[in-house]
Amino acid sequence: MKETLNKSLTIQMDEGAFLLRILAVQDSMFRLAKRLLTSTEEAEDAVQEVLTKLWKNMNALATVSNLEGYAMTMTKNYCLDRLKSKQATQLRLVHFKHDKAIASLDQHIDNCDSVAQVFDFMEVLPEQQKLVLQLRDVEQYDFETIAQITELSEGAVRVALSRARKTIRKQLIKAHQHGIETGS
Amino acid sequence: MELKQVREYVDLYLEGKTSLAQEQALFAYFSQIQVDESLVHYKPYFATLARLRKQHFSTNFNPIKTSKSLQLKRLAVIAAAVITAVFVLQQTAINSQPALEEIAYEEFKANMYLVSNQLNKGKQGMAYIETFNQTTNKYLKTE
Repeated sequence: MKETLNKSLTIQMDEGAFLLRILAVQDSMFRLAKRLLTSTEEAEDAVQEVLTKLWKNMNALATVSNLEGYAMTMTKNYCLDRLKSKQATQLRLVHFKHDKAIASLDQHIDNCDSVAQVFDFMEVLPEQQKLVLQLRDVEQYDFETIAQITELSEGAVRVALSRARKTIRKQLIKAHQHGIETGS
Repeated sequence: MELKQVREYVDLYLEGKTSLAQEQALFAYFSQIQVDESLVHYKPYFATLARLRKQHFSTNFNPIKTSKSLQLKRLAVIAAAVITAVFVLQQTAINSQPALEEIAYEEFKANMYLVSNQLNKGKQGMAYIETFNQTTNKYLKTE
């Protein structure tokens, strides 16, 4: 009986450490999910789902050195799957409109600063560029980790990042020339 | 940071060739209130990044429901409870054996007292018979 108790105690400790490790990435996972799925609720569901999956596979993952990267890859894959199935059922269109309404509300609350406008610029980027931009400019991962998460080569990551940044710049200049307040 | 260097970093940034440290320097530069007129259009982008970095996952993840160790722990607790219960029951069985005899003895004693009391009472009740005999003997002379 003592042995069983000791065993369950060590498992408990490992669980605690594991939990701390995955919970440390949950904000990044959420931001990535939100970038890809747009809706906050869906992003929360996705993160919840991925965390549960990670938790269930804890024993298999104990040896994974870059758990954070692994968790992010899982989140990305999960969200892309969701998007695919949504496109198949045409739900995305409905959701997109719904989110637009929320976005405009956010914009209003934000006192119409140009942040909301930049959100829109980022929103319309191609998926891969969106992903890379999020991982680099928001999460500040190094190229090696981004390559691991996106399952692209580092070169491809740099190219996607450069394209995304240039597209954003083009739109920023356009918005600026149209005399829109920068909100600073 | 000098303007010349900022421009250089921005160019590298657009090519995806800046290091994380350089990007942080750019971030710091564009977070200032005063930014050079030629670069001011980048400001909203960095403000957006700052906003995005502040987003947090608000739902609490609670894996305890699916915890394997909890099941193990529960099993351990149940096993411990069963073992203690068996042990305690055995102990009380051993302890209560002489106690049972004592109780039986006390009960037997009480019963015997009761029987003896009742007999005494009955005997007292019979006492008048002797008186009756004496008085009747006065009227009915049998001799």
